[in-house]
Amino acid sequence: MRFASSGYYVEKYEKCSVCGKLVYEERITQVNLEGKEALYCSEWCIEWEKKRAELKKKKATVS
Amino acid sequence: MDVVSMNIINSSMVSICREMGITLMKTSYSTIFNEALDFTCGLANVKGELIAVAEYCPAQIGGMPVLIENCIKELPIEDMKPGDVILHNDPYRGGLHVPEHTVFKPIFIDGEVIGFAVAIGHLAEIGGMTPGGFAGEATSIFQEGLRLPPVKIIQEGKDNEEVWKIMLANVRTPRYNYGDLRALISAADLGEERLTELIQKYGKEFFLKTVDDLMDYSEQRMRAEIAEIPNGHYEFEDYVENDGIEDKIFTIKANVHVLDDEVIIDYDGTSPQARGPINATYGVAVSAAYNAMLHITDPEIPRNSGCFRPIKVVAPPGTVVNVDYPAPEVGGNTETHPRIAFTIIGAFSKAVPERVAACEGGTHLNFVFGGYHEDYDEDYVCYDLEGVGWGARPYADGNNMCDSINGNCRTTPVEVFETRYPWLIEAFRLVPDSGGAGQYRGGLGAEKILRSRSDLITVSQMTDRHKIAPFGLFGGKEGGLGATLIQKEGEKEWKDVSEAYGKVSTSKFSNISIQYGDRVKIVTPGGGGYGDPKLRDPEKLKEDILEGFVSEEAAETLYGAKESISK
Ligand SMILES: [Zn+2]
Repeated sequence: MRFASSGYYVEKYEKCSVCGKLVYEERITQVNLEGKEALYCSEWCIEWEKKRAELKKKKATVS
Repeated sequence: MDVVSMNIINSSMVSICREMGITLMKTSYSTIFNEALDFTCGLANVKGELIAVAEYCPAQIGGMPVLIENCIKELPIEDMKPGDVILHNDPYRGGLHVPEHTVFKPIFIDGEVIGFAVAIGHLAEIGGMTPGGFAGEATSIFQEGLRLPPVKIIQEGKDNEEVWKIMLANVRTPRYNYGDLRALISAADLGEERLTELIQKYGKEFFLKTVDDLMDYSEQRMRAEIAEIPNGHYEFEDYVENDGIEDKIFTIKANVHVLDDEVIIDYDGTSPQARGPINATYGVAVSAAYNAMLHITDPEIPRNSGCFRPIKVVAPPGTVVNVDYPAPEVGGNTETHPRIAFTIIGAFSKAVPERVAACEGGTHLNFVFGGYHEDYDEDYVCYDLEGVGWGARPYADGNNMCDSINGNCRTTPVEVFETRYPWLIEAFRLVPDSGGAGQYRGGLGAEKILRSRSDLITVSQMTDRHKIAPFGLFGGKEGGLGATLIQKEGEKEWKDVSEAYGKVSTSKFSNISIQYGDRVKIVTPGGGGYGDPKLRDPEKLKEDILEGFVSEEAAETLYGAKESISK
């Protein structure tokens, strides 16, 4: 990364909290499902986190 | 879409990539390049997307777009000049593992970058705590070798001597590293030259439009293939037996969601990252997903980033499939990649059994060593990889002794190996009964016995499958286990490295001392079987016994043969 969000040169590798890819200038920070501030690369990842939680819940109910 | 021109341009680009690879093979110094072919050559567009690639190492094919996309974020295109060549190996900046060095050269047409010629190769020596890399007991990236962010090794056609000095001062074999880096650069130079000629022939606008069409075409073909897979959520798990530091099992979990013509591969449920070097980087997690998808879909689809558009990969950070800095990671690209890819294939076995194979050996064996060679008065280092048995398919047996799913590399011939390094190969043979029994049998693993001709060889290894065997499918049995055994000069007993050297893991270790006359036996795992062994064609079983692939005993106990078949 050219500049980390701390302002220092490199050595901070920030990843999307869902898909895990490196995040650069384009980023979304918002509260995740556990109520903690989290970093996302895209709206898709915000939505997938919710959908995945629903799928898990559904599976737990079935079994 | 001009389909005829698209086909010609695609084939021409693939030929360019193949020629880049031949140049690399012919000009390199180390056996890992000129014999094993552990490299890949490709072409990328200005966004870093893959537009063409040759049939070399699949791990690097899938990882290439992630790599280039990250590099051009850090070293922007505006800062590139004609004649520049960029070098990179940082696993934490889109790389695959420390030894994997990416060399890429911007291609300028009319003063504008239109893409890149890319050569990725595994350098046999990279500094760090063990000769040959693959420190099986590393607990930090800093023990694994010199890490390079994207830097210009050539600036406007001239060597950047500062970078060369740093590179060569940090390795045990500077002469070989110099030669191998030059080979990678030559491949990129050739790619730039040939692609420039091709673009000049067709014109820039037409070429770029046709390449866009080509990627759209690959995307459409991949979507059509996925659309044939029933919608659903398919899960599968497999395991890495330990990390070299702790004797505990690590789970790789694939959750495959097929929705119409798209696939989401989510590794949720995978173990937290390990203390030892089995961790995969994000690039590996993506590459393994693409690799698995390319194995279960039409091999005729032109290979470019268009194929990857319908595939979404979710690799939770801080897990074995997406390691966080500064944990070690060198085995992630060789051992964990095949485990991830076959976990995905295992998930797809529940949806499309006719498209999948049982598990292959799933390790590159990664037997690395170094020392001083008296005959040549020079320090040497070798990264040796070995083949494994491949998994049986729904229509055929698995292949014997081929490199694992992400390698596609070759075993170095015995004659070359003995000439270059102070070992005598006393045996190299297939292991009977190592192919998992099945209606279709798994491929066989091999056994190699090496005897030291040197007073001291420092050996390390990063392998797996000493404890957890490759899985079979639909009643097919597991493939045979691997092993690494040592017989000290003058002793009769073979011991594993835990017994002989007190190591935690028999499959992942750093820097054991092998002395003159000591022997090392490497056994490589076999592939899993497919379908019930009792359904195997008796003629095939007879042939197996005559070839020595299956013993009479196994024919009776595993395949249910009523009497001695060979008589
Ligand atoms: Zn994301």
